Amino acid sequence: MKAERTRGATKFFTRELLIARRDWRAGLVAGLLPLVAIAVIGVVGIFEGGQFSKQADVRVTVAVPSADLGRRIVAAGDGLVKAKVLADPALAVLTGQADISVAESAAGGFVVGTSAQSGKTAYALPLVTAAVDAMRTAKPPGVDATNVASTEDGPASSAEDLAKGLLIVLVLTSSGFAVTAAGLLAIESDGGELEAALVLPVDRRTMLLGMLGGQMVVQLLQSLLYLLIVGVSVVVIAGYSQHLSLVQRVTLPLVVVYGEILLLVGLGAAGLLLGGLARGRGRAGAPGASAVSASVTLLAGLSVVFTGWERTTALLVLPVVGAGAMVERAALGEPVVGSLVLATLGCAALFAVATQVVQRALRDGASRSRAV
Amino acid sequence: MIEVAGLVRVLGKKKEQKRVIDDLSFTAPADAITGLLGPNGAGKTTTMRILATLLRPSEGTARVGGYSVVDEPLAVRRCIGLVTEEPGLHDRLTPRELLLFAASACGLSSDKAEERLRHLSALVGLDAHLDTRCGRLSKGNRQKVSLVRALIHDPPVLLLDEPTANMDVLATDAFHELLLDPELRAGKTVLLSSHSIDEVDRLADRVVGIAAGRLALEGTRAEIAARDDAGDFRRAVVTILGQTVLAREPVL
Repeated sequence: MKAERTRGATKFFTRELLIARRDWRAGLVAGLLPLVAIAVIGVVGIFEGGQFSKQADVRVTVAVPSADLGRRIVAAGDGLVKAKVLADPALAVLTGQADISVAESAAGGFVVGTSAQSGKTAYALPLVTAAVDAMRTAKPPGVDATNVASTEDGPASSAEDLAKGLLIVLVLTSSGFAVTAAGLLAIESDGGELEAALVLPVDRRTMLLGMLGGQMVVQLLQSLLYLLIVGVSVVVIAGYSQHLSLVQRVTLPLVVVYGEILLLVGLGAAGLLLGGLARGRGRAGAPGASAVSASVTLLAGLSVVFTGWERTTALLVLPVVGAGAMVERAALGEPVVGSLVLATLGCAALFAVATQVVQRALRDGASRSRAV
Repeated sequence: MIEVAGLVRVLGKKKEQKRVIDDLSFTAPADAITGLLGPNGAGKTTTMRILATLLRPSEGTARVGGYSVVDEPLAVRRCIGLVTEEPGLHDRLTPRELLLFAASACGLSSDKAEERLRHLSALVGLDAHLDTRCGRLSKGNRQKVSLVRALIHDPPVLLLDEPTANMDVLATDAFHELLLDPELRAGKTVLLSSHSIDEVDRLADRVVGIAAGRLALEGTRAEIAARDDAGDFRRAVVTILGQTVLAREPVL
């Protein structure tokens, strides 16, 4: 019986691989989607950090204790920085009046601080700290300058921003994966396909295990492709690579990819169960997986919007994709609500885990580069 | 042979439960096509799903090829071939790959599977399309693939659930010709679910009519036609099914 089950599972497993192999063009397209999205983010980031900020006055505000220091920082700020002279610059950051503060320390040095999380601030911070550093070196000997932030260790908020950046990449690639998953985890299915499979004289649990096993291998292979395309692209395009150690450069994309595998295998299984078996009609697959796909994408969009990183891009790209997927499901008259709720809960839990993993991986780097 | 006795299937949640199959009993003998006829929503597909082990009955028994659909579902699946309204093909696989996989899953050796594939594809006129991806086949050819898949392991029972519902006139006619081919259906119990009286009239040796989940009529075409004053099969079916539906409608 066991051998028979193994044979049965192997047959379905092999078939999934064969189908996936046939699907390589669609997989490639789906795989390129996140790359395109990241490229869009990169372009928007460049505009936000450069010309766009000059035109629209979305510059980073630096609170400084003196006009002289303010002028120096603005001059060093590449058009991205505007200065505001305030009596208590550190308080200005806390109260939201400024993105970055430069305060004189009790020892006579300078302290650069920020609690801001945007990529824009992360970009400006090295410029500000460089200006302060120049100010420090211009000071007469004898002034204690040990508290002055050094650009060598990276800006204070870079780790947090990086964590957010990676999280967004996780979200983005997951949405791209979700597109693939909609095709793959649906077991290529309209209801009829699964019906035809279910009436084969093979134990159903074995059959589904074989299919899911095949899907997992497909996802793994795709993940490796993504590791190359997305993982590397993230680090390079986001421009954070200078803040990462070699180990982090290798491990963080892996964390991202494994996060995706967790998400998609888990969600795929949930989709199968929710979409089909729970309904008891033998129509597992397509509706559930599509609902999961749509919910992942929608949740991804919402996550990005609420975390506040690159809102413009997030607002434009992800919810549109997510809403599109939802509209498509609704237009097809497929039941998505029940699956959507459960899938969203599962998805949120998985995101939380993935976020923790990423942030933990970054914590060491954060403590090294913390300047305040 | 298919034997259905006191079959009940309840669907929906507690407050909105509906008996979509209500005490249904009938027999479909071997070596004959039995038409399961009824209007939309009559419970035909639910019945077919129960017989194909895709759904469990709430009450009653159903035996297919001598096996209980509840107690021996694997044995039932070994002895049935199912053709549904949607052919249910993997668009990226070719018919050859799909059919050999189905044969393999049914336990046929590769030699036997190849032999059956050659024989059946020649019989239904599919051999020219065996290596074309299913996604590129016409509706008629897709349904032919579905039919061959249902027959590849030479099952004694063939379940056809509205197989021509999505097909055009010519494809439907070709499909009917196939079903009437004595070599294709030799010795088999064929249960054909349809809402088309013409289709059942043309193909079925016996007719089981259901409406609102209940048995409305059962017999040969001649027996049913005899229930109309003018001996008209179509009018007899419409009258009996209509009366059954009306009898089940709530009185306002």
